[in-house]
Amino acid sequence: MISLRDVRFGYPRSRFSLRIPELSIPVAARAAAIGPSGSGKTTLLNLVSAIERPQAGEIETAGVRVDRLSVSARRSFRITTIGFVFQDFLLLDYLDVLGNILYPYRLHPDLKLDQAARDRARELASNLGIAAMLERPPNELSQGERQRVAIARALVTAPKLVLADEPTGNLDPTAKQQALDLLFDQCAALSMTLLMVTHDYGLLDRFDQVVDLSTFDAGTT
Amino acid sequence: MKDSLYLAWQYLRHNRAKTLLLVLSLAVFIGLPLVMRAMSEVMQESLMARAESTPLLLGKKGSSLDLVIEALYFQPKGVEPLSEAEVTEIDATGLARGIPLRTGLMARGFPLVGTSLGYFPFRHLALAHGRSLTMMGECVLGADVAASLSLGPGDALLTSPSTLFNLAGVYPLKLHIVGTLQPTYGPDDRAVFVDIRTAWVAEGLGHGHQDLSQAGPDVVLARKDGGVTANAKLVQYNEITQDNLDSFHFHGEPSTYPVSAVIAVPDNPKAGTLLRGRFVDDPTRQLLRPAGVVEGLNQQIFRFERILQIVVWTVGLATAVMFVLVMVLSWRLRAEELRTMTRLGCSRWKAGQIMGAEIVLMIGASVALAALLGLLMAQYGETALQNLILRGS
Amino acid sequence: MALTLAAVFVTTLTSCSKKEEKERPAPESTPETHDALLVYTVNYPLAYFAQRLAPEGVEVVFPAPPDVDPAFWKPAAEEISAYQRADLILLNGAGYAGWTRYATLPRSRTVVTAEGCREAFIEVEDTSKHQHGPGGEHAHGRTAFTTWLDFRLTACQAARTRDALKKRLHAAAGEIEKRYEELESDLLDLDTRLRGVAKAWGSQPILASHPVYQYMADAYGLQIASLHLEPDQVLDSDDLKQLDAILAEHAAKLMLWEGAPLQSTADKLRKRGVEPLIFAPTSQPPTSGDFLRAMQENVARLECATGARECL
Repeated sequence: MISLRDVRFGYPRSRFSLRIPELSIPVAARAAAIGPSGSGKTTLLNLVSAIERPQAGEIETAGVRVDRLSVSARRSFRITTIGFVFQDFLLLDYLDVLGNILYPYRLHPDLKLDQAARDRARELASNLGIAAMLERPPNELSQGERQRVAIARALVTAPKLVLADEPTGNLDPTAKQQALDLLFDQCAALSMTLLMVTHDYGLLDRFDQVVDLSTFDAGTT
Repeated sequence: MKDSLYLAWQYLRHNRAKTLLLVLSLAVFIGLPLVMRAMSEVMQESLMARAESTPLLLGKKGSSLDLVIEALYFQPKGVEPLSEAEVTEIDATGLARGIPLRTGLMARGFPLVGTSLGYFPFRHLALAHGRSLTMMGECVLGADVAASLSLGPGDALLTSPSTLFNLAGVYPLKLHIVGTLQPTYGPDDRAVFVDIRTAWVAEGLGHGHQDLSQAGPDVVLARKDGGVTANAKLVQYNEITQDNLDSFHFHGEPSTYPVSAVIAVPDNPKAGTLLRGRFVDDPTRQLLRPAGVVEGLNQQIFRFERILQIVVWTVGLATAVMFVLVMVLSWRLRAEELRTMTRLGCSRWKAGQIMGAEIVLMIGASVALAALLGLLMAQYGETALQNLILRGS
Repeated sequence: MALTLAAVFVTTLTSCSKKEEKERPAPESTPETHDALLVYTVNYPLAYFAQRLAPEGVEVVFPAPPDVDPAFWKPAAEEISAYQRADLILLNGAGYAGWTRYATLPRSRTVVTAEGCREAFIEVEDTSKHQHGPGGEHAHGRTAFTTWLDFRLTACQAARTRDALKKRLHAAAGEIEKRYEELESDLLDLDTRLRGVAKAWGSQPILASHPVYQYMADAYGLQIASLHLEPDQVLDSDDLKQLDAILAEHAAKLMLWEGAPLQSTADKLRKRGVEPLIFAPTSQPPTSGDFLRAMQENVARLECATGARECL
């Protein structure tokens, strides 16, 4: 699913740099990315999802050489292939829960908001236990409920790859476990590959693969 | 496009106060100059139409604008009156017929206009209900008067007590409404028309009272040498009816009674010119062409409007700048939303479309509101603007 | 684009709503279009003049009921409206037809026939002066109004009628003028005859049943004193007292009546040496003949009674 070879990346006007000689994550794997702050965990997600382009090397995600894509092709690739779960959820207050779940469909002409998409959204909501809240605004939900909405949004387009950047960082332990269980279950059910950034080493045994960025040549010089 | 509009609509709906403020500001910016221009044109046309339909106007020497405003638009300006004899003088020239106007009194907030029967065909006033005046004490209502007071033939209307002409004050006179006129969308719609003699009675120049030869001792102060002196108990009639009509009378010579202005309708253009020639060197009177006077007024209105337009456009420009600033700041505050959109894979074009949709919706709402403003101004604005300008001039 | 559309929309709105509604129906207050010129008068003499002077096709209307004195008739609103619809309204003047004081008549179509025919009309003062409020003492003066009994004044009224008709019937001006000359001749003939009566009678007093002969008295120098008696009224004791009182100061041998007095009245008058004589003012149409014939008969009776002419 994900393959990086001789990748070199640095932010403009920054002394941060990241080198990944080789990294591979198979299809349907549950992979965790760990490492100290500034080790490039979020950068790895950005490179894999074609938000950033490496200065050198090859990156293949879901069979596509994302390092060769144009800007518009990268956006198109992202919205059709990848689902994102953010640490701060990043839900929109002016849309209700259903509107937030279906949000990706409104952002790109390549995605068609049809009845099948709406049915999929409702099914996900039901699986995630938020079916009764579809018409409520996000600011009326608990943190755990908001996280589930974020997960539903990430999965509604049936992406091949789900990238989660510390999705349980703001949750209490119980909610954290519930959220993870739901994420893992949904990804497994839909045969999605999951790459998740986490600081919680206690969760690592639940992953098939752990990518330790401290082993790569990364950081600020 | 549908999705962009949906997201834009949801956002605007969620931020109602900000949206409303921006829409209102834009509506004023869009609508006001256009409506002002349209209203000003309509008003100038209607002022001029009224003036052009009045060939010549005779009045006492003084402010020609005040004379025109009082005689054509019935706004009291306190012009010094002519006398009834001058109406006869116009008739006697054989060059024009005179239509007298007595203004200055009010009835329930509407101007009372004393005139002759000839005024109605002259102004093409047609009856909507009832009949025309046949005697003193009757009145015919303009369309707006009838509508706003919900009065019609068979009802009564009191004149307003006035100290304009008589410092001691006059009693209100009860007028009998015999007809209402069809709308003309001009000053005649807002007037109460009476025979000029009724206007004289209303201002205290004529009256009716009980027969003194039949009056009892409670009314009579003294009888001496064929003369009778009555006290304040003498019943003076405050309405003219068939029963007391004979008692109404005027003291003094009717030819000296006041007439605010005389509309002179010449038989032909040459007669009009000859008539004007007779008054050119008149030291106390003026015979003028109302169209000429209103042209001057319209030029002033035009100048005033131009200044106003500059002010409005300047304010409007500031509004537009403010609008742009608010939108820019708003999107800056929503930077994280934009970043999320980008990260999710939203195309640049789509992001622009979503931002643009908000502007399009707001402008659309502003245009709709401006159109509503235009409708309201079309309904009420012309009269209000006309009154504002005529009262203030 | 949106701004342009807005401008068009708003401008259209503001002008459309007015333009659609500004179509006005034909005015109802103008007189009906008549095929014939329509003339209304306030008494029969004026109607007679109009009929004599007007060419064929002119309709002359004198609408007062026959049993009412036109001087005191009070027409109803519909009747005044009918006057308003006339092409020409002939008023007498001198305060005749009190209803014209308060009625609204079209100035441009109204002619006061006696106006300008005399320097001043004869005032008959109401005996009661009175005062109320700050205005001071005043009397409601009454003007004598039977102007057509002074035949020179009558000719003047006829002339005013002629002028009014000529103004409205340019094409028939010549014919109207010709007719006027004939009428004037008839009226001046009556004038000459009455001067003959005055010459024959001199300053001898005459009584009148009603104060309607002021212009005749003034024009022809007749000494006429008036009472207030009706021809169909029996004289009671008060009437007789009044009669005797006036006869004591004004020893008349003749008494003019508007109509034939009762036989008992005539007898009582003759007992007092007063001969009753009919001189009908003819403000209403006579039962037979016309105004001119009625006046000719009036004058003939007076000529006979005064000896101005030998009568059988």
